[in-house]
Amino acid sequence: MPHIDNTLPIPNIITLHSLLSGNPPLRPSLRQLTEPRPLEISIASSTEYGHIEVKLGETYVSCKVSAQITSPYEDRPFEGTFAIGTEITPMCSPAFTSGVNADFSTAAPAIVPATAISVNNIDSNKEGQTSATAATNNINNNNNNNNNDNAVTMGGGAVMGLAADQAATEILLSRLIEKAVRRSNALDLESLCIIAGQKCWAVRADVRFLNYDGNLVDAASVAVITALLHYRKPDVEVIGSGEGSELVMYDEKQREMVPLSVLHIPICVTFQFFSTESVERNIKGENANSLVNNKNYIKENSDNDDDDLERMDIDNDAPRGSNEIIIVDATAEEELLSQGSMTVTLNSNKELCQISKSGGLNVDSVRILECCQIASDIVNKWTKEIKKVLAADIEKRRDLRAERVLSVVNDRSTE
Amino acid sequence: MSAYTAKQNILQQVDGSATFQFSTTKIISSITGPIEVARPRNEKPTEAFLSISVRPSTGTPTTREAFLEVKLKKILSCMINMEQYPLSEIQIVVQILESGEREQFTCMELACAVNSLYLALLNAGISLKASFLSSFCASKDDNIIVRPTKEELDTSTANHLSVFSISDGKADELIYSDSIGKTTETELFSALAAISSDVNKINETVREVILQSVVDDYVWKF
Repeated sequence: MPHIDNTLPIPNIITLHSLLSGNPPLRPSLRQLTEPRPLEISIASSTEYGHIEVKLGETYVSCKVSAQITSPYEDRPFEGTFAIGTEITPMCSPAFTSGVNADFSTAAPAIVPATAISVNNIDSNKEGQTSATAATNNINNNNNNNNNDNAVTMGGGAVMGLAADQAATEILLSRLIEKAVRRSNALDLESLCIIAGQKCWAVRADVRFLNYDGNLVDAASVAVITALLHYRKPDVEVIGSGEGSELVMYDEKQREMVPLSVLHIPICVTFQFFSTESVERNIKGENANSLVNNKNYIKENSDNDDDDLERMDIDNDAPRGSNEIIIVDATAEEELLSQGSMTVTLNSNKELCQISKSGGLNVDSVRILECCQIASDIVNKWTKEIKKVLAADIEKRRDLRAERVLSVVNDRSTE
Repeated sequence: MSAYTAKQNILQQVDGSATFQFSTTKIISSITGPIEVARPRNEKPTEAFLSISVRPSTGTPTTREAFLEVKLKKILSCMINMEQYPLSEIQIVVQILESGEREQFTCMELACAVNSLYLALLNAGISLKASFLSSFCASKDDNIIVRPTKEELDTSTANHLSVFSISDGKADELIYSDSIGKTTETELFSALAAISSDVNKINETVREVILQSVVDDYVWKF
């Protein structure tokens, strides 16, 4: 007997209608399409470091960073380890069942777990979107795909949505966070080394999803990076050398705690795509308007012999009236209705750390670039917010008495 | 004695949720139910199935959390009107946000979890046989310290935790008792007495919290 989940929220079809046929398209909350919900970052503990709670609208995520001393991996003696634990419990939504445990974070830094799941030929789509030359492959692929139309039906592309398979959601979510934060080298692992080949810090960030209202990825990425920036590890010192060396750990009262060396602040921004055309049309060909622009682009950049063939493909296709609708920071309802999603990770220097589009609606590369531009603005806004919260907390934790004592010691009076 | 705070109705997607905090120990719990049983083999024809999962503040769940789950199941299955929900499941998640004690102790977390679950069950509208609350104490040199701090717990010879049902605003029956360490019978009895009077004290605050959330939820304002 297959289990029928009666705990999923029921999306309102009027929402989809107002998004797709409205002019301009309207979201149920009347929020702008490219405007994220208000981000609320709070520091959970006034005494401990590295415990952050992030609220993105109703989405509620908490992250706690901890560090232990262990021995490093044999193939990487000069590096510490960093793991991210992302586990979804039924607490954030009863649609998620407990027990399916996707904890890749304990894997060695060199070993990257391969995607075991096939979510609508991830690879071909992902690459197809990033470069114009690969667009050829993409279109060819799409023609092949015509037969399995239901691969791009509602929710099929909403990988982060509840509609998708839960195990896949969890694996993709943890892989995304891993890619965004860990593999973009946001945390300097070499600074975690204490004694090469013997002792190092093992930093762990545990993400807890408390309430689900869409866009867990963006909230989690903000929570992880803020917690890493906020965390202080105890100071250690190696006394002596060689055989008789000793490792001394100083507590908070003896020596000031040391912040982690965070090299940059990567932040994920997730886009959801809605097609204004029927799904079938969208698979067959790309959007006419943008392809006119796109065609020139392809002409300039590609020396591919298939070029003519491809253009023929486009010319044969009937012109299309409107573009797909792209929204940022979708709520649970919007995520359920969406036909495709894409997560872009950027930092405030406009460096693209990763781009992930696993299945769903096909989107022009030009639109992807537009998305990156939108994402960049959001990232700048959120980075400012993170820095503001952290600065306010440092101010709050200042021990004025201790500072005065220290300043008296160092004061050089000039009489 | 450590301070405590409680809050009900925090999460939207679940039927009931609450946080409870004993000084540095903070726990959030959620209840969903009665729902269809996720795995058919767990279905019980005459009563509800409790699926309890305890999540640690750092790392993945270990045997320690599994042990807490067993203890919680014992406490909750005699307090919930299980016969009222045959063939259904009550999904319980206990997320430890701040542990606040060393790994070898569980009394702070267990007491905190029981209290937050009581509030969450009320919030979810699950039928209960009685109200219940929990507290804990540590004994050291014939002294009983109710709700000890982390340091007091470290230096104690034994610690006791118990859960009392509540009727007429007073601790009534002993539901569950758990002690770790070297102790005597007289010490245990005096610990139980101390905990029951502490439960009375906690109950006053908890009642206010419940009253406040009922007031907040009350939609039929004229």
